[in-house]
Amino acid sequence: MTTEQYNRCVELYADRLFRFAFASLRIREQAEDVVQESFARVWEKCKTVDYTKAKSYLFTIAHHAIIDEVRYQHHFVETDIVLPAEAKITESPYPDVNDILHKVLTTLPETQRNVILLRDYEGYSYQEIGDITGMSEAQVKVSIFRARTTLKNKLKSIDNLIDIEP
Amino acid sequence: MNTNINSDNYEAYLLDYLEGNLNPDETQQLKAYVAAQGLDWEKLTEPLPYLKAPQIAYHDKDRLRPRSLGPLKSRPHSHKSTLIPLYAKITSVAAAAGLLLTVWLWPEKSMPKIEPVAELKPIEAHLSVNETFPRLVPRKTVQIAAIPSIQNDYGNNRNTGEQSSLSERRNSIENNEMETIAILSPLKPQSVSTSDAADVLLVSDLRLLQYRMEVHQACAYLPNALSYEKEMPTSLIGRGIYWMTEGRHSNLGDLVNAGLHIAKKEVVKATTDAALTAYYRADEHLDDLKEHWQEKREE
Repeated sequence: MTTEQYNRCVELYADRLFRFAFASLRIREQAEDVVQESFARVWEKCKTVDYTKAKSYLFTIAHHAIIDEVRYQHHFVETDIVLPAEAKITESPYPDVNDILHKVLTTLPETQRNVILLRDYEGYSYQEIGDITGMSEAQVKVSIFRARTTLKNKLKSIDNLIDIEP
Repeated sequence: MNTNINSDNYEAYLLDYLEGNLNPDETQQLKAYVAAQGLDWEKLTEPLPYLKAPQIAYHDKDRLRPRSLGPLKSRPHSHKSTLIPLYAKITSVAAAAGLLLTVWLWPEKSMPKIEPVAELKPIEAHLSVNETFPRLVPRKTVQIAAIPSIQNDYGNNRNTGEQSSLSERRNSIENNEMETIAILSPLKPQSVSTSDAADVLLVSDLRLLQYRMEVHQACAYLPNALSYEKEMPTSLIGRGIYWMTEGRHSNLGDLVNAGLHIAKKEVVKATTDAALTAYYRADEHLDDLKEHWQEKREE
């Protein structure tokens, strides 16, 4: 990959990578760290990384960085998750379904969270997600099915709460 | 076609079914498997939600450019410092935490600590190391009965418990120039100043009066005392003497721990033992020294 191609990657994928990292981590600074680390690693291996594989490579690095970060937080840091203003889920009395889904998303295991984000945000195939995460295609499908089922059940329980309110 | 649906992968088939990727044969096998497991087909095949990507931009793309990351071929390793990878941060924090944990868990005996009073050695040991600071006043002349009551000779209102500030205390001491220099003169006649004297006498803030009394008492008890511990089990001066006799008066940390933290100036740090001896001597000859000083001033 040439420097020009690398620059094109920055233009094409920086926002996407940040969106992915931020949706998973919900902390801007950490998401920015993930993006920077991912691009720095790609730049280091710029000569050997094929331009057509750059996006997958970026998301692969980001995926593992997110997992590391989440596990690190889980073991060493108690963090109050504060959502930046631009991504804060609407606090209106009638939040839309997507807001609720993103809220529930944070309660999913990190792997389920990442695979569903790669699928829904980036439109990756299950095989591609498997390549990025190191899982088999079947494992990816199982994870996504479980993630969606959890989201669905949470939505249903919220619906029930709304229904029983006077 | 046998699809080999099992408990590990049936959810993958359900997802395929919901996304319309199963042929009728596979669908039939999946239904059969779900039924055999006693699962609710209707519930399992309810529509699933999908996430819609929000519009979020990464605003600092310049930091990702090659000019920020360094040259492609010869990017120095240290250049990573401008862009610290996440794993490096985590590793650093973990290492620091490990180091702190190691220090915290280190065996207590390896850490500096104040020796318990029970370990104090007999007072004879102290006296034997005073060769460089010969005692001018024979021990035998010191009698407990001769010890004056503890009075506020240097501005430390010990009896009432009032404590003046350090600066006030220092001023008070410096104003009492004659006495302070008289006391210090045996110690460092060439370099004594009122400031040094004040510092030495600030030791009285850390119980110099008690110090004096205890020195007297220690010396008076000496002939019959087997150990300082027995006579002065809780005294600071006992610890101080012990440290001094052990040649550890340079260990200011111990002195600080003992409450001698104000004795920080060189005159005290280097010659704590000498100061003790000098003070002891001065105390014994204070009247003579006062008289001598007065004569000198009159001259």
